[in-house]
Amino acid sequence: MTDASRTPLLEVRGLTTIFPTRAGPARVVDDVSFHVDEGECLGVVGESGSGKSITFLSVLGLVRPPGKVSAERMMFAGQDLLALGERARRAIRGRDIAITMQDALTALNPALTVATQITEVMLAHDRAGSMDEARAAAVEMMRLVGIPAAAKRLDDYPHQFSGGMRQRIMIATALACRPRLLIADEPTTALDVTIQAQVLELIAELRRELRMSVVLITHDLGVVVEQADRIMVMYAGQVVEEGAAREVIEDAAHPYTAGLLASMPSLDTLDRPIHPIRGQAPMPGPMPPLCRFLDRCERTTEACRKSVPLQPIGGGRASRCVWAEEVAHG
Amino acid sequence: MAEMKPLLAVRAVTKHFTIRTSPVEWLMRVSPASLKAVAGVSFDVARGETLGLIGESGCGKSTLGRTVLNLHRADGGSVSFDGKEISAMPEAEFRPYRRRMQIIFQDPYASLNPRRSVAEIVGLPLRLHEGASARQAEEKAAEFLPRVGLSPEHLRRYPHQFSGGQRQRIGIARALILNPDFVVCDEPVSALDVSIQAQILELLMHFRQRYGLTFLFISHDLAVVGRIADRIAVMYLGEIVEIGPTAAILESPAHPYTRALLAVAPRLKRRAGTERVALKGDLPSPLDPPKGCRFHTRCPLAKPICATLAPTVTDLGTGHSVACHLHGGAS
Amino acid sequence: MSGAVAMNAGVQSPLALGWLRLKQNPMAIGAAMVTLLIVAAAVLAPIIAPQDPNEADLFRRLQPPVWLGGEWAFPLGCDALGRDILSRLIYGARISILVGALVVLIASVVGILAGLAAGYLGGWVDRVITGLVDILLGFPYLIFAIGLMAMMGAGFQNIVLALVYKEWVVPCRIVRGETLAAREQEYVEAARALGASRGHVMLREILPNILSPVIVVATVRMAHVIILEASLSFLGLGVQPPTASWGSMVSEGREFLLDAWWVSTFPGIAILVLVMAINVFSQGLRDAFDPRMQE
Repeated sequence: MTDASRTPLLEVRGLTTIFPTRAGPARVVDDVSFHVDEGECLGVVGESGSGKSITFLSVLGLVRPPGKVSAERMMFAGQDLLALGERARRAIRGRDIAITMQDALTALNPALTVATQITEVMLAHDRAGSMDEARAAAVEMMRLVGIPAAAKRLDDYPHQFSGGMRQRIMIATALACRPRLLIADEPTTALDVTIQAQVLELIAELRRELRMSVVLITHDLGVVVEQADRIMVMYAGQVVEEGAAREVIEDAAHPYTAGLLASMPSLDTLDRPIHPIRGQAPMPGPMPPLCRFLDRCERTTEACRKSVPLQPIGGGRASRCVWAEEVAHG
Repeated sequence: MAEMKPLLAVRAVTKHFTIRTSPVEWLMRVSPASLKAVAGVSFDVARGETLGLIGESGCGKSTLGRTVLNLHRADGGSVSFDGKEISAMPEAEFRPYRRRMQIIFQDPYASLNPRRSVAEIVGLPLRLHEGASARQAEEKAAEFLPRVGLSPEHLRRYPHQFSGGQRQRIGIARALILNPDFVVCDEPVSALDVSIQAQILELLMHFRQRYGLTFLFISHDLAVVGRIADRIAVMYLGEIVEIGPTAAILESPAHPYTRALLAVAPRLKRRAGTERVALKGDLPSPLDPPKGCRFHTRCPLAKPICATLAPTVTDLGTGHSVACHLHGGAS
Repeated sequence: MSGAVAMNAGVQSPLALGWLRLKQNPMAIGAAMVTLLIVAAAVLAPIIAPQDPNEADLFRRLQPPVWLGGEWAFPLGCDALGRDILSRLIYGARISILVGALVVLIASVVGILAGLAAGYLGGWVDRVITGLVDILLGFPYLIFAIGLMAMMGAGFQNIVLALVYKEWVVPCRIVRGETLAAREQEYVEAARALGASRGHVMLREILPNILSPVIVVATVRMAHVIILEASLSFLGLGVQPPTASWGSMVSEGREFLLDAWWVSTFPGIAILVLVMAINVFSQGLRDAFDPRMQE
């Protein structure tokens, strides 16, 4: 997959998003860099407050004031997103990059029929010449995401669908313009386990069929294990670990990733005692220049009492831990 | 096997909800729709045992947990606690049992009164059952908080000042401060962040061991239940479709629904076949459950008989039983 | 961790947070001060009123305010019986404020209890209370009050009763709605699981959580009730002469609007100022305390 000559579909460097809080400005996204290759699935893992969703809202230009977004570089398919105006960016959003939100019930407009919501995007981005054409394409999309009797249900309202079906409709809306990049923000969290499997299977299938890239944002390592090519782990606004999915899961190079893996309930590890990470993630706010995982980590030493950069550790992997080598191999 | 009386015995319990009618419908005597949330469920929980109750949302597992505690009154069947039939007891007579039967809720935000301080929340059980004064209750709460990983300094704070995990600890303190015998844990970790889930699970297991608690542990997550439960009951659309020792359920599941749940449960190792076996379709509406076996509409192994005849329970030995036409009897 | 520490440093109840927000709202504080000033004037009426409000002197009949050639002893002029308008305004404030406060207080207590019972107990209790509420809502407020006053006769006590009869409906409906939502909350279920009585659940668990909107609405309603009292007094169904009330003062000056405008205008302005001050203050209360405004 790592072909040095190919440029990535999305490349972001030094992305920082700042929100004012009562305690002072909070770097909710702090100097985050990543890329997504053509056809790749990047899993973004983190707990609530880790900045994983805001990172991608920032890329799409969807962060509202008083939030402030800055970046050194933001390239999408050869275009410099930083140089584009609001109009041009809006054109990319929805057409080339689509996003699905966690809660399908609130993300779909309850007052509009499903047909309106799907066709609207297509017409707005000139992906369909006429209403009839757009409706036909909408039926096609709904069939693609596995909604039974799609043509009949086109004029139903969101509340007339079940949770899993709504999630599918949101994916259909997102896919209406055949985007090159789909950002799926916790696509399965609100769903039952058996439905979760269906939705993940659907995303994997669509990725193969439409050859699009996918960013899968989730708090659930189990989800990314099955789907992602690469994983980026975020903690308190920073990327703490990055690498090929299988390698990160098999030997994590950051204590937070290792802790998440050890504390995640999994059917493979029932024989092992649970090993929770102690304490809790810091509240968003100004942070001292220390390793942010310091007070929850079991390896903390004097050497950790400084700001730790994200460092490459070979094999396309990176870790934000001074003890990365030891964590990965011990 | 010693013949021990179970602490909790549930027999053929049913719980219906009538969908609210408008005054006009009431006047016109339109008969209200009935939702059978729990449709004839029986099981025992032995003293000191943890029974895991697993199923998807809408299957009636939370309703069952609340019916067992008389928070909803059963419409049929019986619930016995420590040898006494409780489901028909008047509330006044049942009140002493409340201190022995407790519940830990899923949502640590909704389950704590935002206008009450921690001292009031954790002290309430003492005030209600031990006639403690506000001061005494606060002192006892201060003693108890360290056991759930909070400190007495937290007493004067309000729920909004805590994180989800800390709130769940407050809820646990409230449920356990009177040292109950039996606790319904209703998805106690599913609203929490992954790293916090393990903390809370560990805390619950610690209390269980230390005080010999009996749990009815409700969850949608087999990996969580598999870790904490001695036995597992699998619920689908108001019925228990399979029940048995944890090892038997995880290693030799008999019901196709249990197998499907196992197939989609989170694992860290990628499965050899890579493809997940996903169930088709959605959970049918509990307002109008399918005839015959309730699972037949989604079952990959359904036979013609499944659509017409509800399966009976087949005993597979060692406490493992299943309600499915693929096993035993009805052929 | 620094963020968490900073946030938890001041241990604050939701109520204390509300006060903090209220104190930062200059409009609300100004309105509260105007209201308090009028209340203080009413309470201290015997001390600060320059004249006896009921002392008539036909030599001073329709005497104009001081800047139109009147005298300093009667700064806002005199009415048709030669009584001092300023003194009557000060004493009249007592009626307006007392009626407003009493009606809203009694109606709130009745409405809260009825609303809690209807919302939490449900069943026939709910049907009876909602039925009653719906019937009362069918009558236009003023006409209902006029009818009652006609039946019971005028007088302070009857005016309070006549307004309470319908006013309790307002808090009752709010409380019932909020209770219906609150009783589904898990903290209510938690209290029940602990063996709390229905009274405890209603008064100690639910009530504190739904009180904010009730208080906000009560202040708005107080302004409304003051206008209703003035209307009844204007129609001669309120407090009986010679006791001063702003409504009856407006009414008395009606015949002289063209040649002695001050008789009606000053009590009119007094009603306007008090009602506006209360409304602005209740806006501030809503912003500060209504939980739906938070976060």
